[in-house]
Amino acid sequence: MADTMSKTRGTAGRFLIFLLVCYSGFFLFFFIRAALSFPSVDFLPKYLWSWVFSESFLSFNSYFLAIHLTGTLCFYSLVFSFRKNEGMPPIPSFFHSIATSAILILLILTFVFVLTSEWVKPKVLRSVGEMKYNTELARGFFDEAQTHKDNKQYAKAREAVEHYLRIDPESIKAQKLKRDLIELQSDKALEEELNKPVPEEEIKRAGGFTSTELIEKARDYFTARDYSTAHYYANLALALDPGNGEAKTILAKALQRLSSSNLDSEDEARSRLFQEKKKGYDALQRENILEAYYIFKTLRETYPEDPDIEKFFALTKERLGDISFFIDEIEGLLHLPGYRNILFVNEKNDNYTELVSIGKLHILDAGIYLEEIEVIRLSSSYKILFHFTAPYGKIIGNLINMHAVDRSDPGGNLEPVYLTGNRPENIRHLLPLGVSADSLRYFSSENEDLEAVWLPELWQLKELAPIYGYRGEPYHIEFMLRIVLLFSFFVLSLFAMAAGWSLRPAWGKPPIISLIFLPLFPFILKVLTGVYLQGNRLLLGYLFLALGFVPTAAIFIALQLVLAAGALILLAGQTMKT
Amino acid sequence: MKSSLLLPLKYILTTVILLVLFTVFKLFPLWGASFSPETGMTYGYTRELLPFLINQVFLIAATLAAFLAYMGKPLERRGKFIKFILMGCALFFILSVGFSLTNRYTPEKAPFRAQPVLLEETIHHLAPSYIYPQRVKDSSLSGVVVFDKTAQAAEETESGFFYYREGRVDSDTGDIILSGREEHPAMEPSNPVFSPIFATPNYLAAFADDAAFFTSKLQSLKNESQNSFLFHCFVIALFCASCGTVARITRWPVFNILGLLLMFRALFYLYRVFSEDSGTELAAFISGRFGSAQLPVIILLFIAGILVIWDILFVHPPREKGSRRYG
Repeated sequence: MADTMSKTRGTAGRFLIFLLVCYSGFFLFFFIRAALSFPSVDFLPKYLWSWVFSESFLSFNSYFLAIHLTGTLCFYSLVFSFRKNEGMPPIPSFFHSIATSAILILLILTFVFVLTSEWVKPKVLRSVGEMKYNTELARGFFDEAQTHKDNKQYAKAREAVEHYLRIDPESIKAQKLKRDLIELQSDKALEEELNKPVPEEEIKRAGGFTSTELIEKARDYFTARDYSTAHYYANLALALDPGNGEAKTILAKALQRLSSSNLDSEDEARSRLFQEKKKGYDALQRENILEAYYIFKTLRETYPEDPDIEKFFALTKERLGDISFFIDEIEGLLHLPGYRNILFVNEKNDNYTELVSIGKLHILDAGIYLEEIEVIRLSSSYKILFHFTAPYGKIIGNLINMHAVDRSDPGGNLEPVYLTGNRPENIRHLLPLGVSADSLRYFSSENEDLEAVWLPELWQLKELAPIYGYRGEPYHIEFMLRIVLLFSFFVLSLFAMAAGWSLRPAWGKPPIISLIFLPLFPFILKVLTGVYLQGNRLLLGYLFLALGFVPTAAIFIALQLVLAAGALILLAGQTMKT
Repeated sequence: MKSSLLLPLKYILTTVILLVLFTVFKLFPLWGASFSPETGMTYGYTRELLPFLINQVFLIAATLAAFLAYMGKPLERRGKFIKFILMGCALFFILSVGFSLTNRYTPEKAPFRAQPVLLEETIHHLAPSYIYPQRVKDSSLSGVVVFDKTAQAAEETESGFFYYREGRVDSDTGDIILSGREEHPAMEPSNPVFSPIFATPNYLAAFADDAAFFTSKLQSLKNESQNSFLFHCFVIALFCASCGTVARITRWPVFNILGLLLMFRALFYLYRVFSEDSGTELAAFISGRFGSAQLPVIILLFIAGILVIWDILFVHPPREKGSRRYG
């Protein structure tokens, strides 16, 4: 008995090792193929190895079932053997002792298959999509930088190349462009400095005023009570004639008058500061947070030590965060892939329908940010009620806020641009979200390829799709097909065991030539399994559309159980002869 | 002798079973393409369509049945020739009857064109654009929103949304005609929501295409020359029979069966490959005076000849039951 057990364990172990060798061999094949076919047109060189690993994983995963069936078929056909009995028929073993451990291994591998197909694969697909998008984005930034450089707009070009370098910091080409731009920028600054018009005073000085003339001017300005200009000319006269006593006298008197008037202006400044603070405070009281923000921001730059200003600035900034956001918050995200191209029905009722498109969605701890927003609201009588676009937005509460604030320039704020219609001033930059902000990402264009969606997401999507303006049926069917695929993995493995067992070489070992062709087996089996799965898909799709979800699910579960039972019976019916 | 006579009967029966199976396979996607939540599945046209579907699949059924007939119990050498003649006749009979009955029903002449299905208040993806109609009544549309980023980029407009108060679906061309829009989005697939549910994977679609191509080739051959068609039928029968050799070529049945499947696929691919540009040039180069159109059948004959010779010379007769050695 103990001998039988150890033999069983040995067979199961060999089966597992055989399968692992099979998997590794084919993975290696796909890896080499991927390494030799890196599409540098679509991906930056920095993605080479990430792409190679991803691509080999995806190819391997798409052939996983066929490779696994090849391994099972070959093991039970070539490797698997019974206990020998010295030229006599083999000693019979109980079916369960042969099959149990193998079935256990198959169950574990089914779990691995679920894990790779439903968890790893969607992530890898998404990552490949992101790599491709990042490449497009980066190359776009690079081209933009080149164009700006050609147009001698070096600051803009530098900004674009900085964006590029955030995606691909190691790029030598981009680093060189950045260095060139820095040089060009400094050359330009120097050139501008040289071409800058010389101040009038400098010209006059160079024009050859004598010290007497300068003193005369200083005296005139002093008499006219313009003490600062008098001080200036007296100073110039002293520069030409350092020993000039009159110039010294005018300079001293002008300084004296200036300092006494400074005392008056300090009082004035104090009063002006108070007025400004009050203005900011009033704006805050009137809930005009943005105005208050800019007032306190300007004051803070002039009076960094003032505790009142600091306190109110912090308060306005906090309040601003509730009603708006800063442009630079989102501009720092432009180089990130995010969730792209989201289109959905935001709201639908008897009076109107509202469609929203979002170019890119970033879900971060700091908040949910949106790029390239476009909204159209249509009445039930087929008229456009309003239609606007907005460059940026942030989801605050259950509202999309599209009022993006420039930190320092009140004129640089971004707001929605209404192409048709309008809305009241106080809400024209706000849009209530009729759907959940968290689930917006499910409707990005990457999810159109349902392979990139994993089971829990599919479950969500089939419920959410009708709310967002899509039909739920494709998601229902895809969900059921995924479940069928898992059953199929197990059922087909059992059939492969039975087939391999049944189709062992008639005598001796198989010829070498047949083993040479062994790597082709998964490609043939892929077609066969494809036919089986397509049959399932057609039947399932038909039943679902004809009968609905629950009856179809019940029929299919029953069908899979019957197939599994059939496979087990077939397996149990195999001969013990070798 | 009895078994020889039974062979064509079994073959015809297998063909019929496969024919039913493949026709059903073809029918499901058509039902899916006609599905709309309002009307449900429309079965009315099934009877009308059946001959067209049979026309598309009966050659695959007939050939696969021929492969299966030779894959089963090995033929004894003695009766092989008679069996081959009988099988050839059966294949000729099936193909002749099939083509005669379905000659009027080639896919190009099919009356059925999947009616475009647009659903109201639903977003449809018709690459590269998205279409959202507020109201759909028969083929007329009201309040149509088109979201098209490509057009936005091309026309350099600020908006990706384009709005049309009215439109209609042209059931002949399958285009969506929107008043004021020059470029009409095409309804491809005709039922953008439900057709993809039944989509065929590329590697299976390629096989179906090759089979359709092979069918049209044989059909035109039958229309042109009965003798040539008869010759082709016998060559195909010979090829299938010779593939029985592949079923026994080594002592490892797994390899043999997979090899046989590969041969089956190759049969359909052969006609396609010589119709493509590079294939035609190659065919003209190889065939010389035979004419490139005849090359596939010559290749089939050649492979069949090699396999028959191989069978005679190298393939061991199968061991009798009970002669297995215990390892």
